[in-house]
Amino acid sequence: MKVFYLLTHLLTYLLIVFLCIPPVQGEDFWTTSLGEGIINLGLRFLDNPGDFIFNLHSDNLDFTPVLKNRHGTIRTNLFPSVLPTTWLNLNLKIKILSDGGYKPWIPQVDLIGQYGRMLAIDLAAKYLTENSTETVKPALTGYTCGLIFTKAVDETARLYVGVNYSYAGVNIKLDKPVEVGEFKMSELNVAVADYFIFTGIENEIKENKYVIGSLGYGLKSRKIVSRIAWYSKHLELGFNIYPEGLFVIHPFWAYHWYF
Amino acid sequence: MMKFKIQSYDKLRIDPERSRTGQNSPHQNKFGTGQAKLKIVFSFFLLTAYSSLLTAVPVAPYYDFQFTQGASIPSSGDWYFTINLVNDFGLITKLYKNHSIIGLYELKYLGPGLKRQEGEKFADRYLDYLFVLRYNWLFGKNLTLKAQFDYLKENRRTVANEAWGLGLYDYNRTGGLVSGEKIFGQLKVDIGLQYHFLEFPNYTDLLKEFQQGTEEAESSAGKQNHHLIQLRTGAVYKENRFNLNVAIQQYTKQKVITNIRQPDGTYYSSELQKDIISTLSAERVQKLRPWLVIVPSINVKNRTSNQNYQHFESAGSTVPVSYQAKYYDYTQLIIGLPFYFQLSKKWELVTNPEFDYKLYTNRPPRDENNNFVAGEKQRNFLFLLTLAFNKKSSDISTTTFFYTYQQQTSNMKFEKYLSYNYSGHFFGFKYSLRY
Repeated sequence: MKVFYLLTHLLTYLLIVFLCIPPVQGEDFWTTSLGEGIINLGLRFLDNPGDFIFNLHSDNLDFTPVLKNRHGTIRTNLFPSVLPTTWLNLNLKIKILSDGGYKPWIPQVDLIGQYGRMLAIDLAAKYLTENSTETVKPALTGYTCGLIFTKAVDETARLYVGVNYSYAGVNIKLDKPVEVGEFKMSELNVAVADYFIFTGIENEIKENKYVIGSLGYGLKSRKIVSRIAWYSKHLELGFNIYPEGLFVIHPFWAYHWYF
Repeated sequence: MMKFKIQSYDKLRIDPERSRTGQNSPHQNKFGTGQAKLKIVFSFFLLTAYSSLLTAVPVAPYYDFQFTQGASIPSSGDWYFTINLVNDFGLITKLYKNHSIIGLYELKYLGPGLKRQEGEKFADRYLDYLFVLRYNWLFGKNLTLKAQFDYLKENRRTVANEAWGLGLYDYNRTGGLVSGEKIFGQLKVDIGLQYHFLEFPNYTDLLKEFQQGTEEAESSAGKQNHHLIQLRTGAVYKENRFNLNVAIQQYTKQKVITNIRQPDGTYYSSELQKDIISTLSAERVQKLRPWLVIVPSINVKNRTSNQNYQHFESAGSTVPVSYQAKYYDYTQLIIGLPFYFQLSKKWELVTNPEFDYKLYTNRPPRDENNNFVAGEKQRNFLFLLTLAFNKKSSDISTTTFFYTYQQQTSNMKFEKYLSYNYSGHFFGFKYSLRY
């Protein structure tokens, strides 16, 4: 099964790379339907670059409760974060209260923290800023912290609610502007942060196999983020859904360790 | 811990005559100016209440997560990838022997796609927040009394970069209901009275909308602040269900348009707009075979309004070229005949043909050049055929694969902004987790 997962995602990645190769080179390319499509995507990105970066950052977040018989989880999102964007990330969840541990009504309480930064920009910054007078180094980072409250409602189902603070920011200055159609971009300095309220459900479908569905709402941005995912002992597969995003569906592949 | 399903709150929703906007709201700060800190304090309060209530008193939670992904392909206009997300979170608590309280919060996103309501653009997206607090009192053996408060906030985006909360037809609905339900053997009768106030905070002016939108003006004149009073009664006898609903919309500021120019230079009379919508429906659940159930239904709706219509020829024009009295009155007939085939323990097939006739009492149709056609009345006919396979993966999760064919025909031929004669396909899947 693991081989199947690996092959599926490898093929998905190759397909994306293949689709991004322009079939026509030169100035004529931008008049083709593919070229126009890329321009439209570029314009939509420029219209709200922070939103897209925040969505990529949200892919890294693991906002699900720690398993009831475990103490915590370490998790990293591999696709589309480490691959292909080199966005390294680590998510840590610690159970600080067990469901019904002290009193029957006490829910499970988990503390979560997540941090990530894009390696490619860090490497480029190291090379580009050796002789630069800029005081702020180019970087793309994101972090999240939050709490999750979980209560079992039967033997196979748990409901959870939670709140988190999430931040993603990028600071890049380019010597040579990037041109998309008539638009030029010489600097990208965006930071997006918001408080999110989440609710979700976890269903154990087999031993060590879980399906989860969750939905979060940004209190300031009115942004909706949602996830449907299938969890096994170490692997996570699923979809992140950003209804108003540049790419509405982000398939993801993550790896985790329970302890 | 008892399970419950909230099935009736959807019926509390009004079905406002959606109309489209000819104006784009200004693009402002995408992250708005919400009172985030207050919301967080409120949210923590909810979390604490949720945690402590779960076992402090007999409490049962309810959760419903629905995700729909599909493609909408109309015969005219753009294709859309459609996404709908619904998230319900509720609690029911039994305070005393015959007293219970239900709280429900729903967050719903409806993406672009085929619409069945006249006046809606395929590209429109909706974000709904619904809060319901209901009190149930089981009085004696056969009488249940209910009292409810509910609040709905709907945001609507009509263009890609419009910020949430600035839509011309955003509205807030606040109100509640009282109702009683009595059982007489196999007959169950209920009666209820609802009051809501609908506020459209961004709406400007009906006549200005017509003038600015010119040919685009197709408002059903239901988008202004108004009081909504509804009286509903229903009866269930064996497998049959009947409902009668009368709704009165009393507008607070919207004046009735007249064909006589007033001393102040406008075409508004001093009379306020008032609409009455009456709906009669019947439904029967018929089990034909152990594996086959049909649910035929019929719904008749009648709307009368004292509002009229002035037609302007060009943008910014102040001189109307055509006056149409009783422009918004219509009668609508909807017939449904769904078949439910139980294929196996996990699989179910549903076929649902639906026929929707809408006949305007006085409104003439328009030709391709936006001119009214004398001697005719506008007629819309909508046909929907849905095929769906439901797979129950577990006690909690259900997956549905669906296909819907939609066809609308009308003698309204002016379709520069809205399609009246089209066919469309909508297919995809729905995944739901419900406890």
